[in-house]
Amino acid sequence: MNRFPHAVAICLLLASCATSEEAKSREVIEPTPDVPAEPVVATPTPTPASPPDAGAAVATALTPAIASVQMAQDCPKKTVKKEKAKRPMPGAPSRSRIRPDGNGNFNQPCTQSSIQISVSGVATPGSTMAIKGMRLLTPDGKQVATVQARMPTLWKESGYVNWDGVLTSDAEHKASYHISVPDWAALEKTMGKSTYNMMFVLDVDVEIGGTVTTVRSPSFERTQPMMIRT
Amino acid sequence: MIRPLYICAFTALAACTAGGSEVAPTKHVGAVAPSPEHASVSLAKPWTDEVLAAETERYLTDAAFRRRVLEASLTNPKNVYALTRLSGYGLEGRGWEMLPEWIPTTTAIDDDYVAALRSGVPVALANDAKPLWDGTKPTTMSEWVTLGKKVFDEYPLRSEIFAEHALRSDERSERIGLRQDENGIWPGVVAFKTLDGGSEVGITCALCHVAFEDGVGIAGQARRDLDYGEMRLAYYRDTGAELAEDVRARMSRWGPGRADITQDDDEDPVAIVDLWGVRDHEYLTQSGTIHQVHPAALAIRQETQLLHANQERVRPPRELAWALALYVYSLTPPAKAQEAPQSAEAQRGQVLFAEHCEHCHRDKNYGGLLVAAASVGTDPALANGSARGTSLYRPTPLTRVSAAAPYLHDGTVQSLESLLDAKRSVPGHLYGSELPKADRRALIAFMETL
Repeated sequence: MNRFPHAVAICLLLASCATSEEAKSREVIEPTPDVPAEPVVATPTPTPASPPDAGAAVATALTPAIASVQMAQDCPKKTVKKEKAKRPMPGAPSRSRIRPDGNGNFNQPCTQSSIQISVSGVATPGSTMAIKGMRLLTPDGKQVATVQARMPTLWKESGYVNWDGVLTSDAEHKASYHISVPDWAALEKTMGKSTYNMMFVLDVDVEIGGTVTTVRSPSFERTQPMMIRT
Repeated sequence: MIRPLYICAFTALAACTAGGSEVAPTKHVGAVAPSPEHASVSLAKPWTDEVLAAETERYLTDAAFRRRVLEASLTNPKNVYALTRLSGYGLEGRGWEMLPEWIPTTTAIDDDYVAALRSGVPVALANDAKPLWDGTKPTTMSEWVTLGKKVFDEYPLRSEIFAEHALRSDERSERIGLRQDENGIWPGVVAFKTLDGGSEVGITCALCHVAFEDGVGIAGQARRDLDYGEMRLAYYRDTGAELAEDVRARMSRWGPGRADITQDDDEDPVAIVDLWGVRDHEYLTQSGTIHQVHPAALAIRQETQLLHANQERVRPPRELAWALALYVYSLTPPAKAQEAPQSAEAQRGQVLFAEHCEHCHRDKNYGGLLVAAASVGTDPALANGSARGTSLYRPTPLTRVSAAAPYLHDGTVQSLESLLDAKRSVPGHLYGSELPKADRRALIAFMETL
């Protein structure tokens, strides 16, 4: 048998090992086309909740990607308000005529900001995923704020359900999180212009099985919540 | 397998031919020059049902093709509409492609639902409510159109607490333009299972694009008595919910048949449009945001619209977007009172139209290529806006124009007489207004036959 193929195979194996090791410490995710290329580096950050031995092995096999971001408002946890606590606007009908729902409550319209993340690859059941940090960037790559994620949900069949972040044996996980919004007024003061008519991206630190990977979102605009988005 | 390949090769050749044989636009000012990508996806007209059928698989299965169509169809790749789509659509392994597909479960809103809503009992979906599509791919044009009608009628664009509030009162729903059709349902509103498992009232395409005549719904006709601003304001007024004063003021200026559909903070409401002859439109939206180079341009428009409207948390199956496009293409206007100008006045108006209007209103639907907003002189806010701006306006297609008041892209002129009146207060589009009164009457007589 010719030894050459073996040598090639060994070289490839070594190369792939090196690549794999490198990937653990430095993973570059391609930025979106309309944002200046700025290397986004994944830094392994073991956490107490995720032992690095099992977790790190899982993480290298999984690929997070930001599917979408909508940034509009950050709604209070409970948007239902008691009607009696609300003072009617001048000219509004008397409270006795207000019957928005069966409980005498009404909802303050609010469009919750969210981020959707997809993770491809088969995880070891029991490993977890979490968002560790998010930075809001302008189109020229300048960080202007940080925002936080909460309320993870996972897509199941026909809707999002509450989720504890534990990955299953499914080949794909599609998650959605509520996210906070920056102090727009302060941001506009700093930037000296309206934030409605410009694009942003988020750099998101996603921890999977103890390894943190930073991925960049598609570009998005600040959504004017009261207008109609078509 | 030979036949599909042959068809693909044929359509590819046809596309190449189309790219090379386009008539040079005479007033296509400021638009992006056609690129090689543009030529590679352009599909020659006419788009017959057979042509559309042959293009189905390419849209459904070829991500690279969809991306090329998107890029070729954006008149101004720098506006927010374009930037969001270029950043999120048709990217392998990232972006909107990674969102879950959502087939909504909906229930039509009928008397029973409204009665339950008004009784104050929290309303749930009907027990027999099913997803609007069972996943079976249509195989004929008729099946595609039938599926597309379901999407048009039932696919929620978002939860709409304002519509729910309007439905709680006969007076309010009538005033706002929500009403029952001949089958006892309220077109444009549905109850649906939300992404988070609740049950809410949502709005659909039919809210703006089903009008009523003698209680009969006309799909495709703009609902010009829909007062969407008032629908929202009524909720805030009646409940005392908070609303910023500037937003309140803006919505109060919309009035029936108009709404601001751009998500920026520009004040640029537009008139709701009829959906007649869309298959032949060269450009979509009043500011020509989308060059309809291929039927997939409309399907992508609708796919991303449904995605956008649902807070970008899900995307529709592409079959539904394609079906919706084919349904829109199938819509036909109500019959004309007369097929051709018969009176001497209307015939004279036809001659005047050719002389004074046809330079812009020149195609099959009396629409045409984009013109510089500055040259038209109407409110430039939409054309110059960051959301969908192109610096251009599309000459409005004039099919059934006499029933399409108010006029101009923003619905600010109330009648054809006013449109041709040089003394009107609304600026811009003064074409024809310099003509003698008798000529203007003749022009109107002709337009009443379109």
